[in-house]
Amino acid sequence: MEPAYKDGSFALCWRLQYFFSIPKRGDIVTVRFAGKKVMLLKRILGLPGDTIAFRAGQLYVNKHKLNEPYVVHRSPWNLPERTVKAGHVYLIGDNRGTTMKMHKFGQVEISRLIGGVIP
Amino acid sequence: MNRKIVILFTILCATALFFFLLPSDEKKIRHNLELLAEYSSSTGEDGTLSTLSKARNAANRCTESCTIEFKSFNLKQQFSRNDISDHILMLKKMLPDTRFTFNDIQINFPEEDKAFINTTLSLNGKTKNQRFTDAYELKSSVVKIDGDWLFSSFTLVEFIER
Repeated sequence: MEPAYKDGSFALCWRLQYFFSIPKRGDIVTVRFAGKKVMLLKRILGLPGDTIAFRAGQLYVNKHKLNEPYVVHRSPWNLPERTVKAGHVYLIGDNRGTTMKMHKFGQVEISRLIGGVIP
Repeated sequence: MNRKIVILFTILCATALFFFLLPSDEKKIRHNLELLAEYSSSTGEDGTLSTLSKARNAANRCTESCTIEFKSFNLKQQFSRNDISDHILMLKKMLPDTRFTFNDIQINFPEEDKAFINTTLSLNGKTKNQRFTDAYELKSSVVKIDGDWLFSSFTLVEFIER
C-alpha cells in the first residue's frame, strides 16, 4: 500500500467502521485471512455492481477513467472488464509498481472486511 | 477442618493441572503444524544434509498419499511423501531464506480420528537482496494413524477473485 502506508509502519484498524456505515469507494480497509492476526491492507475501488478494468495501468470503473492521486508508480496493467458481484467489493493496493501477477487484488466478500484504517 | 480444606484444594489443583498439561489431540495437531512450519523454513545457512533432513521430516508429517489443491493453478493432485519431499526441496532452493509460520489456527473434530484445520500461512523471507512477506489462507485435513496426526490434504483458499 505504498506510498500511503510504508512497509513496517503502524496503522490502527477501526473495527466498528462498518457497523455505522457501508463500504465506500476509496476506503482503506483490512481484510482477514483465516483470522485477525494476519490481514491484507487494501483500498476499495469497486462496489457491488460496478465494472472494473485496467488499460495500460489506468483503472476504469464503470467505463470511466478513475483519478487516483494516491498511485505514484504505475505498471502497464491490462485487465479485461469484470463486474463486482453482489455482497462483494473490489480491492486494489496503491503500490502498482509491481507486475500484476505479484499483486494480490480482486473482489472479496464484504463479510471479510474487518474494518477501516486510521489514519 | 482447615487442614482438610487445604488437602482437598491441593488435590483439586493437582488434578486440574494434570488435565491441563495432558497432551490433547488439539495440542498434538498444533505441535505438528509448528513442526511443519519449522521443517519448511530455511535460514540460508542450512547445509545440504540439514536441508534434505528437513524436507524428509516435513513429508513424514503427511500421509502416504496427500491431496494438494490450488484452484488458480488448476492443481488438484495426490502426492506421495517422496513427491512432497522433492517439492519442498525445490521450494527451499527458490526461497533459501524464508520463515513459514501458521497463525489463526482453528481446528474442528467432525470425527474422533479426523480433524479439519483452517489457518493462515505467513511467509517472511528474502530473495535477491529484497525482503518479502506473503500470506495465504489454507484449509487442511488431518487423520489419526497409530496415534499420530498426519496431514492428508491441503487446499489453498482463494477468497480474493481477480
